[in-house]
Amino acid sequence: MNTDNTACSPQAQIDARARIGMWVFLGSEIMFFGPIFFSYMYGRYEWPQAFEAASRSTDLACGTFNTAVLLTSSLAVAAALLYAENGSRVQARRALNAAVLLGLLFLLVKSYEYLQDWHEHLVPGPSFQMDGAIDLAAAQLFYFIYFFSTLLHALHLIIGIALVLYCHRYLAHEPGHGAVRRLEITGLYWHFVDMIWIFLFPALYLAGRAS
Amino acid sequence: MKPLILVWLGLMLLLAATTTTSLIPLGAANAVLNIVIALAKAAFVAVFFMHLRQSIPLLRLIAVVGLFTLSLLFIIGGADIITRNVKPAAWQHLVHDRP
Repeated sequence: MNTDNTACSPQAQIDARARIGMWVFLGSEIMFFGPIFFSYMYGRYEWPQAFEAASRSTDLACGTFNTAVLLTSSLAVAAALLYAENGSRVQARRALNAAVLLGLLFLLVKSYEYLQDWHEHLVPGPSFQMDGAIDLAAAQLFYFIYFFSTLLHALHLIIGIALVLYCHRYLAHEPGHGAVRRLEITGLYWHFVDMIWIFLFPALYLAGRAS
Repeated sequence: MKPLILVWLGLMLLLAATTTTSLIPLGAANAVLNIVIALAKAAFVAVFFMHLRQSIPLLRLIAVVGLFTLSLLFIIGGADIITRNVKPAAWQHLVHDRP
């Protein structure tokens, strides 16, 4: 965590540099995911009924459950950092295990959803079909955005899981300030990926549920 | 540990709120509520889990600049889409006029 009173020590300077580096990277990630949301907004503005109808055909239960899973995994990563800062390594590693398991659970549920989508012919392509669709082309565009954004998010989550596993190992073999710093920076990335999902969830699962 | 759990509880309540309200027909308010709740959740994560609350101003500045640049994309790009009159190109006329 950031403490201004020790800002002069070399350790604190390395910490600050690492933090700034990660935040700048996350700033560029905003611009990576941003245009996907923009294309979604364009589609929603241009074909509101088709987009809402397509959004209704996603699996709300899976989406809500997965959001809860990701939010809880963020708690686990934040708790791991707190434990590691206080020197309780065993608890920190346990919390990281929980975060990895929750991340894998998210991916498992998402794969199940993809399988369902495949069986319901919702994958964009020549065999795309949606029952009762007003505008099949716009519905397909929605599903194109759905697959692109969720796959990109899943890729980020996989990288996050790998980083958490790395921190887990580092904490076991070289406990100390370096391990805590790595954990903090990895945590920033993990929470960012969680934040992307926070915005994807209402856009892809909740639009037009009541209409 | 206790503050973190409180933040998590808050996030869960917001998730329950956004899912429940999206099932109630409220017209345009549905979309507004979804966006506001998503922003609130993101703020919770950024301020507490990502320690923006205790961070040096430079980090907050980086976060704000990222959001500002993104808002430029949405505002300028969005203004173009909303105000532009789409006219078919010359060759599209030809296709339509063909008997």
